[in-house]
Amino acid sequence: MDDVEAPPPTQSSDARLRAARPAERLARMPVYGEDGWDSIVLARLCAGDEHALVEVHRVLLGFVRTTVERITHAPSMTDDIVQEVFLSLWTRPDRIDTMRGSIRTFVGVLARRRSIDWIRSEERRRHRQDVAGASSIVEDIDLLTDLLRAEERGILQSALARLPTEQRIAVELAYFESHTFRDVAVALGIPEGTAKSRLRLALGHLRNDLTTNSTTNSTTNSTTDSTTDSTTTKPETLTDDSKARTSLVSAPNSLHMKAKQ
Amino acid sequence: MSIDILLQRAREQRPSNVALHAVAPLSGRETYEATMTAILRLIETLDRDDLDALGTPYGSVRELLGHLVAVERDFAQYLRSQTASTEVHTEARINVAMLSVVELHAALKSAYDDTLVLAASTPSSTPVKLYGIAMPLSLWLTVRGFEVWTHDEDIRRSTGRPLVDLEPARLAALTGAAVTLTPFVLDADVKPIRLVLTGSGGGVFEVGPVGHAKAGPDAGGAPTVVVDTMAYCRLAARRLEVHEAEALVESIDGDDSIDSTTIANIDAERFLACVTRLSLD
Repeated sequence: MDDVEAPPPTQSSDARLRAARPAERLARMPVYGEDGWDSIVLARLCAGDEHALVEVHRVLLGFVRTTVERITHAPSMTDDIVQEVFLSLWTRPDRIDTMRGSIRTFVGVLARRRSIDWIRSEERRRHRQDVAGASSIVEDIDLLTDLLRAEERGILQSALARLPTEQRIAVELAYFESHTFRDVAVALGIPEGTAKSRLRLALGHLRNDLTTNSTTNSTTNSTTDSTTDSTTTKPETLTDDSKARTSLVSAPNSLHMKAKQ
Repeated sequence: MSIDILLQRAREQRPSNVALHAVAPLSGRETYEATMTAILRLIETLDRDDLDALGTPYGSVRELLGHLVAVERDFAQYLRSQTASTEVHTEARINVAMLSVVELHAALKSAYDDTLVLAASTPSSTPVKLYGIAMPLSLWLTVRGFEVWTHDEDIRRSTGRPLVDLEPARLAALTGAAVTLTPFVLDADVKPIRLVLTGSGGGVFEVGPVGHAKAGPDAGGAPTVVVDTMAYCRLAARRLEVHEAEALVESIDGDDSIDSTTIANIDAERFLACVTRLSLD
């Protein structure tokens, strides 16, 4: 750049812009954050803008932390897992497709996945000490894993879209937003018991919906795995879609009732 | 968890201010060749009606091509003179009224071939002064590539052809030239800007008037302007007005008070208005 001599100033739109009234000028310049937050932040992350990482961290830290804490119940590990989630966002922001979901959804899925990974590793460690005590946790984790897989494939979104509106909202609040039954009840202005019932109904519908898909798949694949009870299916054996869905739909009660109670 | 620790670990895993999957920019000569090749191919597809299409800054497409040929001849003439102190500015539109597509193509190709031969025998760091601006030959070749790309888009717009995305390495070269030259067109009192160019060929740059004290891209204190790479290039080519660039502004250190936002918007707008002075067309 030192080899470059400054060119003579030329007439440009600058003078016209300066002549414009301040209010008009500002109206033309959108303020950051008004629209398309996800797309803008993602583009900035891809450009290598650290400020965007700070922004995402500021906005989503509470959500990610809550999600991790509710799954792991391990405050000592929360910071590490939360940090890993944000680092993943920084190193590979191009993995997010804002047409399919928001950054919040992505980091939520990531936080759950990382939390489950941590629980699995903990579980394996405990398993060596106490095999019998591990089964109930594994069952919960299977269900969470199945939901995550369904979510990643877009299957869950399709099934959610077919739910009655009030049930869909309840599930979205409980599952995607990680709210408690009480939070859901308050948000919807209904008693807590009604919220629980609504979620049970919704998950029943989801179960039936995904069972239909699973049956279709398993018939096509000529396998008998679709009738396998999830309580006997260990995560390591869930190697295809039909198995994953079966595990989800045949699990007793709901994920959230187990995870949140 | 401290944000500082997160940032420290983030920098260890991926460098800041560098776009994801960043590619090395083409050299000046490569940029020039790629862009010239593209426009010559485009010209081959034109018919008589296309030549008479209006809407370019020079009038019809035919007149635009006349300008292109004239500038290319100027450039070759300078390189032929091989004297940095001799300023050449002879641009005169060639008489294009009766020329066919084939003849216009041949005239541009001939001037382009001359430039390539002359550039090959001239060290890339040789200062070249043309139109009152002195730059190393390599940068001049990139700038010529920039101008030719701008006219490629002019022709496409005027003849109803779709604009095409540039390959990342060429876009990175054009963006680099625009960012490198921006300080020279900024008023001395324009505040330095933290410029985030999004999309292919992008990155984060601190840009201020010539001689401003660099605070470093990671330092606070400068408003952040976020703008698409292609939009920035089109601003530099005067093919977009500032308000059309869809630039977004973040005030200093994320302070979103009305005062900070207002000041950041004004600073950003002044900066972008200056960018249009680059006139890379």
